[in-house]
Amino acid sequence: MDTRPVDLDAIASRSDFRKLSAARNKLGNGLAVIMAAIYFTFICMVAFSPATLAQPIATGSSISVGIVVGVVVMASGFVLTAIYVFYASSRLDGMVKAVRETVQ
Amino acid sequence: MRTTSRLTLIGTFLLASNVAFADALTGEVVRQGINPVAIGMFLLFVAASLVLTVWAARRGTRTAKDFYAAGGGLGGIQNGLAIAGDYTSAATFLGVTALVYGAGYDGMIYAIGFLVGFPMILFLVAEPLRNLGRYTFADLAAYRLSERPIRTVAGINTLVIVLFYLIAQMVGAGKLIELLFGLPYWVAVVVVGVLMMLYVTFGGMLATTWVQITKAILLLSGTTLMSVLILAHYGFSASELFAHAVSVHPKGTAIIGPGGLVKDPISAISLGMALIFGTAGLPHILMRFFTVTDAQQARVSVLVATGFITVFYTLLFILGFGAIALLTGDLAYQDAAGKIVGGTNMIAIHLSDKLGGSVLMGFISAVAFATILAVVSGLTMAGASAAGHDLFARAILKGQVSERTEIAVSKLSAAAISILAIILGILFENQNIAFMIGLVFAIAASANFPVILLSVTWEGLTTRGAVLGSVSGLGCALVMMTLSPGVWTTVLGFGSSPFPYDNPALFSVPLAFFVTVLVSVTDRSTNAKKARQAFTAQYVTAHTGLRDNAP
Repeated sequence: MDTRPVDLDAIASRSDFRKLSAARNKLGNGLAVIMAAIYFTFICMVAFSPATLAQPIATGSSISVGIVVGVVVMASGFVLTAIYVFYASSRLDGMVKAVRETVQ
Repeated sequence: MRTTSRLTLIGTFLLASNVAFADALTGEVVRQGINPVAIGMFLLFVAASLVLTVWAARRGTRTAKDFYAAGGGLGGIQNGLAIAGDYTSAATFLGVTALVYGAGYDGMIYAIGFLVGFPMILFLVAEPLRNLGRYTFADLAAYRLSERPIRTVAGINTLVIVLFYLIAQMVGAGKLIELLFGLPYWVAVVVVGVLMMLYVTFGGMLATTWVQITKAILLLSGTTLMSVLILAHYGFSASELFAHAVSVHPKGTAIIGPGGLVKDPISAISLGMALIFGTAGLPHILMRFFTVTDAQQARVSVLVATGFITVFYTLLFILGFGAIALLTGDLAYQDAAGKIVGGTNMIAIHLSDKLGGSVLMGFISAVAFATILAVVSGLTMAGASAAGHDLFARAILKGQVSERTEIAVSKLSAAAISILAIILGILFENQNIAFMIGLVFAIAASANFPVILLSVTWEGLTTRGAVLGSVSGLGCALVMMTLSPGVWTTVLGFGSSPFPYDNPALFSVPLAFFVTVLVSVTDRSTNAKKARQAFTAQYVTAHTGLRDNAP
């Protein structure tokens, strides 16, 4: 382990770090907003328009719109997580490594 | 006044248990019998978990890193499974299936809420948490804020959450074992309490982790098997299954749409808020991120856990509808009064009996039992670390304590928490456990989430703001909960409730954010100035894992 002091404040103002933190914030916050939007849209449908969800997907079917929507909401949680992991591994990790290498 | 109503309450319980006892004497004893497969699998699991505990104890739980974080060397897949094992509780396995059985689609609303909180942890806090913290989520908030007040508040929040969560788990455990062995409820609760005490005090996080991984694999295999068997009854057509369920359920087509659980828009949104933000405030889940080697493995953990949980909850929905389709009107699973034997929370167990006889029932019961043990040990672990690390070593003794003493105190706390959980489990026997979990999430979302989020994202956060925000979130959630229909009317029997909604999150989460921000902004102390100045360095560490290496 290297024990030289690292000037974190200096790193904070470097452009490579700024790019990294901006990219991660954009990714994390963006996906969080999408997830929350999907979820609260669903919850608002439950709250304000339950009849829409209760409709069958086709006449005579016992599968409702709500069941399909529910499965889609669940799947979207996994897909968004996968997007984060994929993007972070392919882009952000490299940027973190580059920043770390300059001080170690 | 209070004594009178409490006496009435006790009277009601006694009356209820006398009735149940009378029923048990007439027919249940014969039908329940002793299920040798269940007992065999229980014993096998318990034996295996104790061997694991001995192994973990030999590897050592002396250092803080070993005890709290299993040495910190787990891989992402291992930890992902352990998170899933920590999160998918028996309360959700039994409770959500029961909810779907009783109300159909409403169960799905709960299930979706349990799921979406997970990606939120990854998007907002997982990586900073791993980069800044060591053993508990309070490490994160205490990174640049004053340690003592922050850890005191976080430690108390953790203990409150852990105890409420444990109650729900203990109730599930007690009912399950009562049903299978015909053991008295309290004996069952004591058995679970003692086992979790052994895992945590002797095996620490390492034993807890492997109990959780084993359980996660067992639980997913069990639910997958049951779903396949259910679908096989209906030619592997989900629409056949739903059609049959609709035709036999007393509520008919109402069960494929939102129904009685969500009484009004405010309750629905409030519950949603508790679930999506509460997950990122659950101490036992956050603690798991310290067991992996780095931020990259933390990400993989969440992906594995989210995938697992998505599949699991989808299967629960099939199980619930399968229970409606196959068990409605089946007298074998009802008592003389037409109620489900053991309460509706036992419906998943009855379903396994229907699908695969006593062998499958034995297996699923053992799985549910394993599930309970895995979750309660994770919770006890979180409670012990809050008591030993945050409260005792850091807040009270300001870090002037040997690691050895700290661990000893954590282990003692684990024992104390187990005993308390046993007592509370016995007191709360007749509550619906899925509903109880909704309340836990409200507390986590109000008291922990705002502070965790703001401490990593907002430069302006100060100690005073974080403490008052967290306390007001907790206080508001607890007070509103007490005044809600679920507690005021149902549990306390005080008549119509002063607060109309069952979940307080819609009010308590914004309140906590508001108080935190308002107090922080108006905080002109030197301490506040220091906290703001320290943000930049913390921000770099949060993003890169680099530390300043200053002595």
